[in-house]
Amino acid sequence: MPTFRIHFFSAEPVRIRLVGKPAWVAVLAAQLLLSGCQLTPSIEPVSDVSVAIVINSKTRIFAEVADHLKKKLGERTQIYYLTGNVVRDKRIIQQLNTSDRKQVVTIGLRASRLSKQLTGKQVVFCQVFNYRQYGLTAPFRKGVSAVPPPAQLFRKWKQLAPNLKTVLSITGPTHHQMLKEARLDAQRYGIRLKHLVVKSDKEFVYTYKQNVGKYQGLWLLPDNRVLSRKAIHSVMSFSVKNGIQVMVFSPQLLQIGGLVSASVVSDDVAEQVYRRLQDGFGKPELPGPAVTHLTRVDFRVNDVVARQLGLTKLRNRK
Amino acid sequence: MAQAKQKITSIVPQLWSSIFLFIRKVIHTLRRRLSNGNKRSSLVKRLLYFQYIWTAMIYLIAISGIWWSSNYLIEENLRERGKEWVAELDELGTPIFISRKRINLTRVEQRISNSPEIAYVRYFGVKDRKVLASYKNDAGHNIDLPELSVAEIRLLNDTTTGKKPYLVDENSIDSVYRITSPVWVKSIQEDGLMGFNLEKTGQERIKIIGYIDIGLDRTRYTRSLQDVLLLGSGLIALVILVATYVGRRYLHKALTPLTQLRIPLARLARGETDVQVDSIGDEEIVAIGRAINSTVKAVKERDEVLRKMANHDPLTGLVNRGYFMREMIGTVEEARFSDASSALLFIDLDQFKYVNDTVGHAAGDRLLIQVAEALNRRIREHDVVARFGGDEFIVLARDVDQSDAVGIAKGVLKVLQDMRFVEDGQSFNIYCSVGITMVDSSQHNVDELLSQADMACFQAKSRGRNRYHMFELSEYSKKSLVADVGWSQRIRDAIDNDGFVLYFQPIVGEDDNNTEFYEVLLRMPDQNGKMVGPGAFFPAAERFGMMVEIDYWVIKKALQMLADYISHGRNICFWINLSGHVFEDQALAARIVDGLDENKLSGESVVFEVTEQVAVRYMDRASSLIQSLKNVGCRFALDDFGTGFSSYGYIKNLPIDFIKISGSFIEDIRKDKVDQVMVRSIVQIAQALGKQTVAENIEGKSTLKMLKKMGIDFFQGKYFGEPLPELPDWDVPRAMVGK
Repeated sequence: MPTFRIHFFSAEPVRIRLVGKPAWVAVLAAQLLLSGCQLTPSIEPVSDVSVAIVINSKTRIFAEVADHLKKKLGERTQIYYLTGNVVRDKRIIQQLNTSDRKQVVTIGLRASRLSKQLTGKQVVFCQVFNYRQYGLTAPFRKGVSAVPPPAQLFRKWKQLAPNLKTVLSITGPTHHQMLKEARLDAQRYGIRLKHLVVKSDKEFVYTYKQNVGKYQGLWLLPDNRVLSRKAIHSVMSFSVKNGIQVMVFSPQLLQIGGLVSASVVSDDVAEQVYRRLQDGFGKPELPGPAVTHLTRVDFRVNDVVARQLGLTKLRNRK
Repeated sequence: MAQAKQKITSIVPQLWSSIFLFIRKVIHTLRRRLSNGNKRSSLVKRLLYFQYIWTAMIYLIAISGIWWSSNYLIEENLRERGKEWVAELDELGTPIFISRKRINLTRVEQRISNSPEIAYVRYFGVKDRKVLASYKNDAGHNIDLPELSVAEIRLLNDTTTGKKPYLVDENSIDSVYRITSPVWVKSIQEDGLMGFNLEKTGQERIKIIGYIDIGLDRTRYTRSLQDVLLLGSGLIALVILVATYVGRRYLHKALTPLTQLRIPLARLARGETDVQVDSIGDEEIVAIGRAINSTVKAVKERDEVLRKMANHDPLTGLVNRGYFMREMIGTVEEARFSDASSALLFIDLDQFKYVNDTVGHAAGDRLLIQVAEALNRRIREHDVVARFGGDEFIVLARDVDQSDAVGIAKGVLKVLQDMRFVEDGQSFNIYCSVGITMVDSSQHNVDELLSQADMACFQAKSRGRNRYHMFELSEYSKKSLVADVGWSQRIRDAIDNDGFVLYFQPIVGEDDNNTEFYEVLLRMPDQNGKMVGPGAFFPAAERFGMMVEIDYWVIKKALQMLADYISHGRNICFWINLSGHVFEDQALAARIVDGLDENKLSGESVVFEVTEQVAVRYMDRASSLIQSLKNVGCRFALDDFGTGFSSYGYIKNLPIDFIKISGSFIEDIRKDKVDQVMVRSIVQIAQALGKQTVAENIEGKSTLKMLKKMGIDFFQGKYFGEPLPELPDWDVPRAMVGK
């Protein structure tokens, strides 16, 4: 359960423990009632030096992460929105280069790719799946995983489908390491995870149709290089027709036949970014692995598909 | 598809043009057959031919429709099938673009080997458009496959629309429907899968990795089309044949009652009215049948009425003169070739004028009706009785000898003697005179027979009335009879060839308003060329019914001459005599007015003279006629006044302008005191009524002097001048009257 401190214009904040969803509503209501009161996370401020957040303005999940992060970092945070205009976006990067902000958070691939032009800054990227493809990792540039923790995913999936033993995952290149770790997590729950690498959506669909007969499930990862809308629809349609369980990366895909969706929790992403900033504060490089794992998952079940596949109906839960 | 449409668009008008020419030819042939020389065509045949034409048209339209829609569907189907095949072979051909090993085409071969409609498949790489893999079936082996052109590649490389282009080529390869499409790989743009939204259709990156070119064997489809057309046209032809046969039978059955109408209609056209049409069949035909029956009934009734009107006297209901004459001709013809004889009885009522004068014309008409009924009762069934005019009747008694005829005449006299005619509380004895002549093989001329009966009747009257007289040829010279008949021929000739001559006698008055008055008198040359007066030929004219024609001749000629004189500057007024017969003609007034208009004369230039007897006899007609002609300015004189024994009351009621005192009162007026009183009283009454008087037959100055003293206004007679064929010098008579 989340724990918050509410400052009543005193040095020491009052601790309130909230339970379940109504607790969130109560918190928001209290915030509205006590206008003028400041709602801040229980984490200590990183430093006195401010942090810049660069995001692609079009994406809602990115904005949510940024909002959570801003709440954690406080007033010292400055959010920069990319417009898609190359000149203007480059100007933003130049502006950041000349500013005294030492830490920059980039949310999404586009922002993260642009961050490679920053010099003398610690960069923490998040919501980037193909970070290896674009060589984003460096001692001063590290990130937070775009995939919820595989162990939790396979645990919950196994709970839903106890007979699940073989799962196929198809991605583009450069995900060997991540899938290797995930394979180990899956094994802990008796699931054999097979990873196949393709180069295009066309190959994705072909490969899937050729191989899925040997597997019970598909773990659909958000690799934009090998997925197109048509390919997603084709795969989902084929899966429904052939009774394949598909774990998708977005709750939206439940509508077209996904069994379960496992997506990130924006607050969790913000928390992990915050920790990385905190770890790197005052240091020349960012400590720790190139990418740190998330801790939570937004796991949802499509009751209709579950019923069709004869699986136990589970309550949607995070 | 566009080419297919163009092809169809070009074919359809040609097809319709051919159909139109065919139908035109059929119609021309049928019309020629239907006209069949001068023979009239049959409605039933026409309808049947119409049905055949219509059926043929429906058949052609149906076949055209099947052909067009099948062709269209095939084109559509080929296009859709082509796209489906491209999509499927695109996916099946994925290994070609992954590994480019020949073995990877196995699945493609397996798939299309079971689909003979695929003539060939080719996969091209992007680089140099090199063929990466290809497949041909038996049909495709003989095809010389064209390479992809630069223009085609340019079209196929277009990714801007986001929709995969398909190039369709229907013509470059015979019997192959070729469809070409690019092989795409797509990827969602960076960040596109984070916060993935199904609803949003964000742009995707498209990369062309090759091309696929397939050919569909069109013959398989066209063969299907031919089969469908053959089967469809056969089935439609069968259905239409059955429908035509049933329709023909039904049409025949439905039109049979109409055909059967021909016979009764033909009979009706021939004038037969005993036609009855059976009202059977459909509603319209029943209506026609009923209408024909109603028409026949109406025609019958009208025929009956017309026949009756044509053959009967409207007052008495007896047959009229025309009908009687036809019967007479028939009887005379029969008599020529047989020994049988018949009798002709001419009956003239003795006191009819007295009844008319005493109780009026309406009573006179009732008397005539009563007499007609009595005669009708008296005669035998096969005899004929007719009203011959006025108070004259005539009977044709068939198959009788002289004694039988006398018996019939006696019977007629007896019947009328026994008849009492009561009117206005007065009782009248009705008598008649009967003239008899026999019709036998020696008598051939109907007019002669009528003349004989008339003369016999005249003899009966002369001998004291209420009796009969049998015509005896010895009483009349054959010469006079021939002369009588001769007069009728001469009168006819004079009417037709202007053979009459008009004479003029002056009528002078002291106050003539500078107008020359002349009485127009009729003369005619006899067989010797000597001019004779009306007394010589009027009896014959009356007997032969030519009086009305003579009257009209006189009016026409007199008005022409009057107009001629007036045009020469003379102020003239003609006094024209009208007989009683012309009063029976309803068109008299109109014809006089027309004559005045034609000659541009005013009515004031004419005075019509009507005898007292005629005026009294046709009192009602005379009054209305006089009034209508007075409206256009004409004036009227009552001629021979005083001889008709009429009451003065008539003068009061007649809208006349002059009273011409009968010459019989003038001739001896100097010696006869009674004549003097009579004339004086007539003058006084005329003056009281505002009418002017005319005295005729003045032969001397002393008579003139006396009449002037009595107050007579106008004078006429030999003293002033004999009637002459030309107008005399007006100053002479004028001087004689003392002006």
